[in-house]
Amino acid sequence: MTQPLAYIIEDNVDLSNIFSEALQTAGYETVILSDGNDVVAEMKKRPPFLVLLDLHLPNIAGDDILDEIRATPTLKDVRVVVASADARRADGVRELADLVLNKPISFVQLNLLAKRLHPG
Amino acid sequence: MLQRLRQQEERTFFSQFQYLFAVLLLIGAAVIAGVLVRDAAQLQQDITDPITGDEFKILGEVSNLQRSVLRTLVEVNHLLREDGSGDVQQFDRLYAFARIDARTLYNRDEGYTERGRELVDQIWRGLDQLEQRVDMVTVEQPPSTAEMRPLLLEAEAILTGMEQQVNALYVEQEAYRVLWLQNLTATTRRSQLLLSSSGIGLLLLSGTILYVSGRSVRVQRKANERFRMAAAAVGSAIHDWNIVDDLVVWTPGLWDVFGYDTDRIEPTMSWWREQIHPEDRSAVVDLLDHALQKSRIFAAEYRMKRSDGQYLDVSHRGQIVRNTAGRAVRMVGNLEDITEQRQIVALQEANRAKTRLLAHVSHELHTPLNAIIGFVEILQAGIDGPINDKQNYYLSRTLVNARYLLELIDNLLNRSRLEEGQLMVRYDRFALADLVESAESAAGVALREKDVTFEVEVDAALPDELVGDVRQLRQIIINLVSNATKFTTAGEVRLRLKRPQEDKWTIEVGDTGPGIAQTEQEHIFESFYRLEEDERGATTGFGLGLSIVQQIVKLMDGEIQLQSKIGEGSTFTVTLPLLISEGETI
Repeated sequence: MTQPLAYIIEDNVDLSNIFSEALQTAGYETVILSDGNDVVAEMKKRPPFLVLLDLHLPNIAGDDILDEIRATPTLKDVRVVVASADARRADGVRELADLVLNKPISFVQLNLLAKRLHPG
Repeated sequence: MLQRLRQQEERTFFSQFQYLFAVLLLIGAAVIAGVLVRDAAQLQQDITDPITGDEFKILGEVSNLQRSVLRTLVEVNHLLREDGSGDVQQFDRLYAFARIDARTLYNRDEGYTERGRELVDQIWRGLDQLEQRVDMVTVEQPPSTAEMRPLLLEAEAILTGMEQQVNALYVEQEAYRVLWLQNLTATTRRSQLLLSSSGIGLLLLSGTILYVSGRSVRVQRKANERFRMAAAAVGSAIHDWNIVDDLVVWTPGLWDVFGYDTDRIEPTMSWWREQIHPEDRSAVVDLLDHALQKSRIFAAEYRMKRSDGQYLDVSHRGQIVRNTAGRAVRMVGNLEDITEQRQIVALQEANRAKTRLLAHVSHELHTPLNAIIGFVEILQAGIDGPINDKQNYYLSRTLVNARYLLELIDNLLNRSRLEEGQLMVRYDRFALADLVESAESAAGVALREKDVTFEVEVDAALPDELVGDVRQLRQIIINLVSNATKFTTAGEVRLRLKRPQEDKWTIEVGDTGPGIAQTEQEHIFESFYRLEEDERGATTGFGLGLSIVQQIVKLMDGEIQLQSKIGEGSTFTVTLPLLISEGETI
């Protein structure tokens, strides 16, 4: 059985590695994107099952990526988990995101969550 | 005007004297002498009894000043309401000035009329009321326009009432003055009638007039002196500028505030101009010129040189008086030293900058710490191969220290947010089990090396899901648990979640630690407070944990209580309103 695909959009290399490890351990195939540019174009080529999205990214705001995902019909079923250190900003995307996690997100916490969401 | 009337009386007398000369010389003289002595005594009685001339002069001066200040207050009040910007500080300052002025008036109690006293009492009461209103406005933080409006309206009504009272005071003095002149006239007329041809009579009458005018000069001199004394009590430097002759009278406040002897400086506005900081001078002079041409009020803030050469920040406000042709003839103004106020504002700004920096630094420290914790957790999970017990122990210690560091940073971040008023409570649904789990993991890590057990008890009456700010609730529990474990070396730390009332729930953290002395309990919620033990290095931390808990609890409309006795441990109880969402579960 193929593993569900998860995109990790996070500019901090350490954190993206930790998130990737947590998701892989939970049975996902992961793709890390550290730059917000062309994220949606990339996703359209290979629609993921799950997206872990950091709101604070270089070049583009995570909020805009979320808007774009939701506006794309082929990506309408994608589960988006938003990670943000700014609780006020996180409030603004609550409507569109499937889940908002306040940073810090621990490895254990994300691992458990990913297992719960796993379609298999 | 007084002088003019008196001269008129004199002229009338002399013209009549010529027609009636040669009648009844000696008899008249005797009668006149008696009448004049009696009348002069009566006149003197009249002058001193209800109100004295100098009293009148001073009251006139002070009520003039008072009126100008009150008018300014009313005007500022209008401005405040119009633009809604809420320049309350300006309002406060003017108000304080008016208050001191009234106090001066009140303290000079020698020889006031009953009525005058009563009026001053009313002014005093009015100012007290005004103070309460202004307090109410400024205590509200920040005062919104909607809240301020009714209060300011009320303050305005009080001020208008006060102005009427001061007016009444003024009118009364005016009435007395008329009475005083009538007395003088009546005496003179009676004298004229009786003394028509008497040379002695003329001599005596002239003497009376001379006596009266001599007294008037003395009164005038004394009045000036008293005005200066009265104004000295005001504290700031007040000037009365006669624009036509460019003559300035300063109150001794000029010495108190700026160190200049009023008797030694050149009494002109040129002198004042010279003391303004060269960089501010032309702007201030322009403002004054403009005000003299077009306005009733001059207002400026600038730097003014003190006698020792140092510059003070001053606030200068003046009331301009115009003659019937509309030309500015007089300006009464107040120069107040606001250096300290300015410094306070600068300090507050610096403090805010510090707080922002603190928030920024805390935020930046978060990310690398989270990376450290994340990698340690991965290693501990054994994903990349098994680890032995010793390695696991080291990783645990790394986690304990990293989490502790994170807790310190979070507390600093929260404190800076609290200081900035940025910490807000966000209400969301959360599972009670998640909250308990995070508390267990925080305590578990902290207690791993101690002979202390951690017990959790959740009241069955509590719903599985509550509404609240789970992030802040976690912070409350972590801070309380961390505090308890810090001081407990043996025994247990308990976390109890209870529902003592239908609409309340409590977070109770108890320990079997050494307990907290009664004297320390009063201070335990203060920022940066550490128990005396701490000073000897027994424990660590910033002393922020409990103060933050208290403030967060307050934000959540809850309260925190401490029960403790030396040797019997401590229990902190946080009581919060119980909120439940009716909607679907998470």
